[in-house]
Amino acid sequence: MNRFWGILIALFALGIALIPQFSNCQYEGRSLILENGNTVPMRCLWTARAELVTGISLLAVGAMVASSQRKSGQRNLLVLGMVLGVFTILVPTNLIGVCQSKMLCNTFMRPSMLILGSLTFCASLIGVVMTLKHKEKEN
Amino acid sequence: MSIIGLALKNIKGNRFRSLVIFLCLTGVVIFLLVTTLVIRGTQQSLNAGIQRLGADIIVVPEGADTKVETALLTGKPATAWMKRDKMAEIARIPGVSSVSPQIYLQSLFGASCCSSWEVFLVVYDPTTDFTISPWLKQKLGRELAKGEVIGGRNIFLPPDSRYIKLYGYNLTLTANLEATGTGIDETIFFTLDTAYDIARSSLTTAERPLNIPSDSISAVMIKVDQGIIPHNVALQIMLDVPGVIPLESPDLFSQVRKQIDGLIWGFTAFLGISWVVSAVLIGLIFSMAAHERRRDIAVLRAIGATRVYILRSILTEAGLLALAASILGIVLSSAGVYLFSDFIITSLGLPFLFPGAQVFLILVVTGIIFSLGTVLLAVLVPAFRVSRQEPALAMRE
Repeated sequence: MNRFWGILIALFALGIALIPQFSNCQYEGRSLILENGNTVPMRCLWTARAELVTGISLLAVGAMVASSQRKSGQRNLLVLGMVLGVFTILVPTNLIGVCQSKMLCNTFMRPSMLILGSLTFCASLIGVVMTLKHKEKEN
Repeated sequence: MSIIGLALKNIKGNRFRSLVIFLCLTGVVIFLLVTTLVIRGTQQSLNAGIQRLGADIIVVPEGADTKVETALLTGKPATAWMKRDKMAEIARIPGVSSVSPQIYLQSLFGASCCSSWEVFLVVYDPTTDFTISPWLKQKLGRELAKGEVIGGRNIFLPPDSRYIKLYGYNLTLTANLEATGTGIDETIFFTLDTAYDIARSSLTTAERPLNIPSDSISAVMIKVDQGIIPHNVALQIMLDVPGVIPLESPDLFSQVRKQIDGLIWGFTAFLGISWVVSAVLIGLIFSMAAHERRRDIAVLRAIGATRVYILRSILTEAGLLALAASILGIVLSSAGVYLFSDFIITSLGLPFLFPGAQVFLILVVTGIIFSLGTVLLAVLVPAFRVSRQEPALAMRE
């Protein structure tokens, strides 16, 4: 059963890592133009990079949950999955943020990360509860 | 063992079958709710937009009706000009209670003298206005001063700035209007005084000066007398005032309304097909499961379970799956539509406002009833058949 949760987390992780890479302003060819004519990337690019790191970490967590045999190991990994799920939500909302108005990063990347982060958190939480139940049965 | 306990054991006993039914139902509930939420949200948004405009009729120059409607619907800036004298001609028409002019402008896009986004600017006359002024009096208790603006729901100050810069002129954002989901959310409103001041200063502060002809306006907002049908007044305007087009409030955004009607038909047909397919699929899966479990059921009958008990246990099993699928479907679809509302607006080109609590609650209850109804209907025949089988015959097979 834990293989199922591991694969599910890995699928969410793929979404977390990939969606921001194709929905940030830099990808759409937009950037901030300074008064001296220089261009700088908008902050959604940094959010996309942070989500890539989070996604890759979650992918590793998912793979390890799926392959791990020990319940205690799975439980610890799933707790890490919960933390990374919360981090996924915080990056576009509080920690770095996205651009305002109707840019794709605000209309698509941000809600996608909120949904995928929440789903990762819930899936990890259910996994933790299930490993705890197994532990009770073993005792 | 209680009926719910037995049903839960059956669900756990065949996880794959339960998962298929669960996913099938979740998909149908998500489709039902998402389409209904989008359609209801669009209708609500159009109504909120028309209510926000606050006029019974909007008179615009001939040939500018489409672009003004588009500007109000999407916030894509538009300009239109007609002579100010037209307003006096319109005011004389019987049934017209009050008239007020508006001027439509647009910001400079990508210019250093302007905030960087393209904004629709609506200028109103506070001495005659009946659309924005009542809202301002209620919210601020006063009219807008020179240099002050109010914005739609999506108008915000640029980062690290206390002003919105238009044509090199610093404007103070005093308040934001309630969300309508239409272009009004992307619009900035200010008074004639402010507009003429911006035009004067833009000669030296802007990359391109703002030109407002003193004898011209863009639209006339009309309120008709009580008991008068706006359509009759609109017809009279068309006859008496040449070179203008009256847009009646209920007919505004008629293209979008037609689009929604088309969508409703398409969605209803698709929903009907997917509903029938799901119901048949669930019926077949339960039929197979009932056939598979006929010996277990025969044993249950042999130890004293009644036919009604068997029937109820199968229906409870189906009901529990339907309930769980409805809850997941409702959570996913409402969260998705709520979070992706801006994406829906930009990608579908439709205005959208998330339905109010009452409408949403009705949709949720409908979703649950729909899901439960589908499953119970699909399962009734196999459940009834298996509950009526002879235990001895079933055990001998």
